[in-house]
Amino acid sequence: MNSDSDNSISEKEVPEKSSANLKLTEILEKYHIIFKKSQVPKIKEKKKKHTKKFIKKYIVQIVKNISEQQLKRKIQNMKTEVKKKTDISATGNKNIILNLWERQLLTLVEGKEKPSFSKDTRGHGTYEEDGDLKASVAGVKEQVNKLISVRPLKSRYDGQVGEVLVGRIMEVQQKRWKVDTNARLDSALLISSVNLPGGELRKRSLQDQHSMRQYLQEGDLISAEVQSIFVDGTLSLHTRSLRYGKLAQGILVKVFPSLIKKTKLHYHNLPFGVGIILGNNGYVWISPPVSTTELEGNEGGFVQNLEEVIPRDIREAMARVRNCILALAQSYMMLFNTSVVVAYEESLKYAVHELLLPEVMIDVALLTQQRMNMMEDYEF
Amino acid sequence: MSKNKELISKIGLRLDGRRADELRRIRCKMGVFAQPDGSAYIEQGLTKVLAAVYGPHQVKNRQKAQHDTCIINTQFSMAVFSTNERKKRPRGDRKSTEMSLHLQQALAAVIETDLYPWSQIDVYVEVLHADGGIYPACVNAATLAIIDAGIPIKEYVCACTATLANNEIPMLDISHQEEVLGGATLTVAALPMSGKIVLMEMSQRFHLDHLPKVLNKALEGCKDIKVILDEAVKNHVAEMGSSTGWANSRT
Repeated sequence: MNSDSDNSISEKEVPEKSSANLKLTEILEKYHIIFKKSQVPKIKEKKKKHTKKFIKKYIVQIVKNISEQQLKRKIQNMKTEVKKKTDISATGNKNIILNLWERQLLTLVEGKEKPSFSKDTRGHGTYEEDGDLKASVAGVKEQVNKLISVRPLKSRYDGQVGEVLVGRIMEVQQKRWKVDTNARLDSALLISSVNLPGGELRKRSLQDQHSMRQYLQEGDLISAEVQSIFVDGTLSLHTRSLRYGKLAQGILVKVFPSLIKKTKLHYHNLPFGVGIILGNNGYVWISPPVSTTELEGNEGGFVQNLEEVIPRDIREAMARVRNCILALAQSYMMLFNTSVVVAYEESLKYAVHELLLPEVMIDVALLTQQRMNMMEDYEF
Repeated sequence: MSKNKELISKIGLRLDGRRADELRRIRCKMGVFAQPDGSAYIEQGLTKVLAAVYGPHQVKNRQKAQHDTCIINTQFSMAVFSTNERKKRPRGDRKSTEMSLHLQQALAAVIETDLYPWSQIDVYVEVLHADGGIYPACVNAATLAIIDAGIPIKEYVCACTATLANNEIPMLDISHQEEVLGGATLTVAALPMSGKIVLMEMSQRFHLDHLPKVLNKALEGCKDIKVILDEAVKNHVAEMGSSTGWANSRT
């Protein structure tokens, strides 16, 4: 790419060329239908007619014999030149300076029927009206080259492959469980994407379909990962890892999905003896610490140990974590490993039940915010 | 009250001290609940309304599911203590059903329903205090709640009432007292930016000659309300964004 200043100079240095182009675009203005891409026979015919007329006029005005093919190539070249110049991704944030003919051509091709020159592409959270891009949700604008999208700060869970979820079984169907994951539609957990007791290579028989309810029944909580997204937007989950499976004793907290910070790890064993799963869908599971040795065995993650008595101090710590998460969520603070630990530490001056008082919740959130800010200052 | 009492005094003030083209004070708050996906509270004068939005979520009734759009389900209810005389039942009577239907129509006009096939959006509005202009307050509250839920809409939908005072002056945002004293009330739900009218309702018969000026007044009112709502939304988003650090921003 030449710099833009060179182009603007060229206007003065080579007036013959640009004035010829200017004339051409002026004539083109009347026959802008040529730029239509439509394959409708009516318009196609019209295009042909206009092209012929245009060539006649061009020859008369410019006094220069030219074939249709040559002219077409000429126009094409001009178009690419303009396109190159106005390409945002190529010019960066430099000012785009255009000659008169270039500007005219741009308005011609950009004219209502011409989509190939549109400056921005419509992303999520936007819509087009009268050629303008407008936001349809209140949130953050995100731009990748020409694609502009607006992300709402709060919405239903919009799943992406590989994210960790916590969900509740809503329905047992043939070959699949329906799982509530706070998404737009209930997610599906196919029987083929779970580890059944007996190892990886086990064949899934009709028998297994009949006994699906033995593994997971309505109301059970599971942790899973998004495997794929169906065309209609339904999330397909899988639990093919020892980490995932049925959840036993613990507390479920529901927050807005956007409050969960996206990190590499969503399973944490917090230092004060509490295990936590920060589901990307805004469901947070608080449980007694999960020991990694327990994960062995090939039951496929469908065992629930409800007999084990959780000691009182761990139960209290779990309740405290729950209240801390609620306090953070109420003040719209992001939830991740560190923020939960910090909030827990800051909350220690209160009794667990006091954390439910509104003013205490705000206090904990504020103290956490302060400490997080301090930590950020140290890092840089 | 005496029928001959004038709605607008000689110096151009109304019974509550407003001028003819003034709205009552609007105060609103978004995100008032943690449970629903979106919620809002609005006060227009003494009229107080809460709105909650759930969804888009899986359709509860399988037969009703649509393959190309989402269903909008609205429920209007008035708290039993919202009126002067205690109401017998908060919802289910004919007036409430009609209100729900009208609300559904207004919202269906702006929500981009085709983005959510097989889904359903539930909108619940509850009138806590009724002091005239219930429907407009409900529409405005529902709009805020839907924005809070992050559901894409084409435009704000705002509603406003207007009437004709002393048979000549169009008057905006009618309170309950004025509703009782005055004549026909025009309720308009509109898209203020494009000027489209979504719903228009007249409480009584009315001379056609007066309609244009009253209608224009009501549309102006919708535009004024839109400005107020817009500011509330911007404040809310700024507040929420700054405390989350603009949640999972990639840029």
